[in-house]
Amino acid sequence: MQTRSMQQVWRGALAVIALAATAMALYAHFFDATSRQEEARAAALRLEDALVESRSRLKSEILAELRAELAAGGTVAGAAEGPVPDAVLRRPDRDEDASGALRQTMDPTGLGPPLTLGRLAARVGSLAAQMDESDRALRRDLEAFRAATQRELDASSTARSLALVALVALVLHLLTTWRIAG
Amino acid sequence: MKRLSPVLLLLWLAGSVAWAEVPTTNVLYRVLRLRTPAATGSAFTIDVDGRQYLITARHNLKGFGAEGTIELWIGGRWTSAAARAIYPASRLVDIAALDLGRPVTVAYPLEPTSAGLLLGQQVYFLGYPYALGSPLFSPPVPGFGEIPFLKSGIVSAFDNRNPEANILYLDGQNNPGFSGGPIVFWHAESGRFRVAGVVRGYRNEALPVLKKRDLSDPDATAHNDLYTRANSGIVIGYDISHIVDAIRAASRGTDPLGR
Repeated sequence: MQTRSMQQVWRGALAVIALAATAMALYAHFFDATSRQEEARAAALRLEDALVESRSRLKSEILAELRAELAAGGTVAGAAEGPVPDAVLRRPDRDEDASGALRQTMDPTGLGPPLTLGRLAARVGSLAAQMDESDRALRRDLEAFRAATQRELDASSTARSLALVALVALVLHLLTTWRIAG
Repeated sequence: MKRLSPVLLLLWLAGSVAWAEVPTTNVLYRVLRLRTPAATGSAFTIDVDGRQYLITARHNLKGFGAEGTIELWIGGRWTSAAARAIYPASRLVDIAALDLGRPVTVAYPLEPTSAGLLLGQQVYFLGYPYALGSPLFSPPVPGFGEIPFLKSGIVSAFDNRNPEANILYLDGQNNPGFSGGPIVFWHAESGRFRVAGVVRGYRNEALPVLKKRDLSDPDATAHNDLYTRANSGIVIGYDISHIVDAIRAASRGTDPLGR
């Protein structure tokens, strides 16, 4: 009689422990999933920001490159440097020279291959293609990240459902056990 | 904004290209002020087969003949130089070349040809109207006097009915002093300026002198048959090829007129 009573106590204690553990797991899992979702959302935003930043950086790099090509280094030959071919005469900005005397400024068209509109258009086309490719790569990364996060969330949701079922079963088991004991 | 960016980029590029079409030192440093007993006008240098020649309007050399002395404004003063003249085959062509026996300006690339010039294209003509120009920065460019005056117009017409005297008509406001100056244009394919012709002058038109009360009457006739001479805005120039051909013929010793 005492042995049977002890068994019931042990069984009840184990069931209570299992119940508590399952409930805690569910609780922890719920908050953990919420924080993971927040984290994923923040990461997605960071990626979006990175995409925007990358676009603007690429654009500024392209513009800088084009400016450098067009200005051929932006060399302004001073008077002391003597005559320079393929230069235009430019009145300097006030902060460059207060006298306003004309100065030679390099004309990029004479330094390298002729800078024609066709060549410029080709260059712009090539740079636009580079920008598109970079955009596509970043978007691919973003989609892959989103898919991985979604898969994780799905698995987590399944685990949560199963834990819930286990919890309900345990509760029923406990109630049934106590009623029989009573 | 995303859609606007390529447009802005293209506008910026177009602007960048536009500034590159301002006449360069290849043109500017070749232009000189010329003085002869007949006139004071403009001149510029071209290189033909590795030799430099001074080009001006033929009428600036009136009475000069085959050889003589000219004066060039170099380094802030008139400098005399002995020259041998070369004239085109046709007397109608108002261009002459002077062989000074040495280069007098820089020899930066400047092709003497009107090939590629478009009807309606913007051109520049350079010279020293009323002895005006921009002061030169210091130290002066060797063999150079003063930055020439630049004016611009468009090519209104090519008159090549006489193959020995091709005329360029420009829509522009020319002034006395430009005679003998170069007409240059931007040649996009080569990315450089070219000399298409030489300024001869401008077409005059006779404007009737009217009484004040007749100013608004389109049918009013000249008062006492008085007229004034006005600039029509049509610049006349001759194709540079005539003088290039003459120089080549002279260097081969095949000048048809034996000059």
